[in-house]
Amino acid sequence: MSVRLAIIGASGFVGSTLVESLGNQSEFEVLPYIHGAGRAARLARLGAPLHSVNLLDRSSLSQAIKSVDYVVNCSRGNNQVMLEGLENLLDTCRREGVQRFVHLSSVAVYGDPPHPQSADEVAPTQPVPASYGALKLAQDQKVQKAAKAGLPSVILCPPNITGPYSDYLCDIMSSIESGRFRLLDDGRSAVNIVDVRDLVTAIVLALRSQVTNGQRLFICDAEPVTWLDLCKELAPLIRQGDAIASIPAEEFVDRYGGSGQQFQNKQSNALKHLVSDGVRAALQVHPTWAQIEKRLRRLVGMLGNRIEERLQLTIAGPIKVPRITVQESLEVNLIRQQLRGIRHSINRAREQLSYEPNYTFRQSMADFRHWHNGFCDGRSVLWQLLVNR
Amino acid sequence: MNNNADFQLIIVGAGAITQAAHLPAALASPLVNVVAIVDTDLVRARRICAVYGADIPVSPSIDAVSTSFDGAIVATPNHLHAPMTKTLLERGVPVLVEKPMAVEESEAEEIVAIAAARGLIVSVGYHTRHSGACRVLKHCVASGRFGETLRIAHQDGSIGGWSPVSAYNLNMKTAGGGVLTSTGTHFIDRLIWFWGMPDQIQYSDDSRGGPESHCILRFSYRRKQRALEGLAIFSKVMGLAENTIIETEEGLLIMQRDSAEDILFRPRSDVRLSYRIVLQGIAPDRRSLYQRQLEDFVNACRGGEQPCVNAETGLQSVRLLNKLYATRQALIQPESASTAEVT
Repeated sequence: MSVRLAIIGASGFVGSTLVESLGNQSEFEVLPYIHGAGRAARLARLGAPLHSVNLLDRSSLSQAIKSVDYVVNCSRGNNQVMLEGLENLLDTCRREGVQRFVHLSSVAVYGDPPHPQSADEVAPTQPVPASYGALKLAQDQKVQKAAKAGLPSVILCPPNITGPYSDYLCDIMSSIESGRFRLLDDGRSAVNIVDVRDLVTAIVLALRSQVTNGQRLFICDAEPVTWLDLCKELAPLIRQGDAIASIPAEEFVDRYGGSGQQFQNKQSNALKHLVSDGVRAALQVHPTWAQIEKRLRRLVGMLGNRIEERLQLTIAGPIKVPRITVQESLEVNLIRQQLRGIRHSINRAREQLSYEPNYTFRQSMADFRHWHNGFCDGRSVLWQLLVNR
Repeated sequence: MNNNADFQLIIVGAGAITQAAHLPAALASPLVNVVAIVDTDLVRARRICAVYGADIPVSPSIDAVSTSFDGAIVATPNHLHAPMTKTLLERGVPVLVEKPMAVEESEAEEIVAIAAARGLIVSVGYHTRHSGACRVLKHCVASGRFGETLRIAHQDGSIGGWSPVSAYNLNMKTAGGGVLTSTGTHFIDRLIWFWGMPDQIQYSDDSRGGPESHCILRFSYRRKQRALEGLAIFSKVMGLAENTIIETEEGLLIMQRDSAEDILFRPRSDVRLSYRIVLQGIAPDRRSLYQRQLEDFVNACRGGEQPCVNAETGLQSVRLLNKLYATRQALIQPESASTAEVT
């Protein structure tokens, strides 16, 4: 008898590949769950029934998870879905006696750039506050708590995902084509990637695994690939793809900073926002607020220009005049990924899941190019008209 | 409600397109007064009225609409376009029906026949026809100002997209097709409008029983000298910046968005130059394309003239869509793209 497997968030890149891969396997009865109809085109083309679930609706979840043996969580969404929704899902899985819960996390929980020791999973997690990594870490903690409470769970941490249908690779291509990409230090730094089909293999191995204590496992490709290698493999698909400019990493850090999303001082920002012209104008519509504003302005005016100026400076800070250069509009966040430096090891996944990537880097990239070419009319003369205009 | 307007309108279907486009267009138009929204899901119908603070009666069926009306918008899942349109026409009501007018060619022919027999207006919801960009492009091609058209290429793709409330787009029976039917149909309509039915077609998509998510259309028109060839790619799984490129003897005519108001011309003689082209003498139109479409329909009903896209034109699009699906070839995909080996 086959195992009933619910894939939550089945319409995404990983979910769709997982559904397609397991479609013909008798081991699993696959139940693809989606949230909305907008992104499910790749799955819908298969003609198989799709199910809908709302992670924020407990009754909808109970229906979905009833009589399910295994659950893979590939879902994404806003903060509420990611946190409250996941908690609902974990509660339901525990209640319904789910035997295996595989959660897709991210290497982003180790920070951006990651902690220097994060070649290994035991490194301290230090995501940038309020970033995607912080959200994924909060999710990991919920899964680990559920694992302790008796839900057999595995957390997989992939880096950026490649292979056919990879929008990550498509994004890099369009950044290069639009001149918004730069290699740092000639692209010598390591790039952590995983072919989506290898990630699918890891998910299936995790479903079969006996180590289900909610430990985090890196799932990456095994080869030491650099950013230059990656760009070279994409070059045949890109106009002037073999002529990507490089800048020194130091210069980039000087100009754009070395870390990802910075934590904003929310209180001072809120105060700045409150005294902004826009908010004041909106408040002035109300007679009482208009009166208060008028009196405050008069009071500040009585203190003299210099004190008013100093007050403004204290609250709003000095006027920042950014340096504007010709090449200012770069894909900073994408380029900054080259500063991560660390290569995540798959040793623990090898030990605990017997995970071994099936696709070499070259094979993976060749398959991506084959997919891209096939979907772009084999780069025909007519297609060239669209890109070479 | 706009009680001063003299065209009483009902909207059949309270889905995402009614909420996002048809209802706000109707509320913005001084010509119409929405007297009912018809949907079996009355809660949803009331909710979309509340979004706009509109006090419009809702009704579970056309029969249950208590007031008389002069016309109807049909914005239901695709498979209900034709049955609903026929029902309304048989009651003597002119219809603005969302695209495609019908899933089956025979249904579209019936609509044409009923509309002709009863002298009723049917307008089909190819709203981009009302954009400045489409009109100026048509003018440029038809006038021959830039010489003969040599080649045509078009692409439009995004990962994901329009999300209908009923999820009808995920089912072949209710959608009638995938990305070709939902997105590509606008291009199909323009292709026929500009050059007529193509003489040769070659079509491939990635369907494995469900609505296709990616498709490629090659077409050509016979000419005395050399054939006019074209390519169109539509996708829900690959980001492809919307673009229509028409290569003429003089250079490239480029429509970057079919909802825009202008197009670009890049002369062959100096590819570093780019000219923006608009039609002279037309005042800037602040109305949405859906409002323009609705008012075109209302004016046709009032004046008895044909709307911009009539039933006969809608039928042509349904014919070509069906012909493409009938000659469908499987899109060549890397085996490894979809069948990871899980051992």
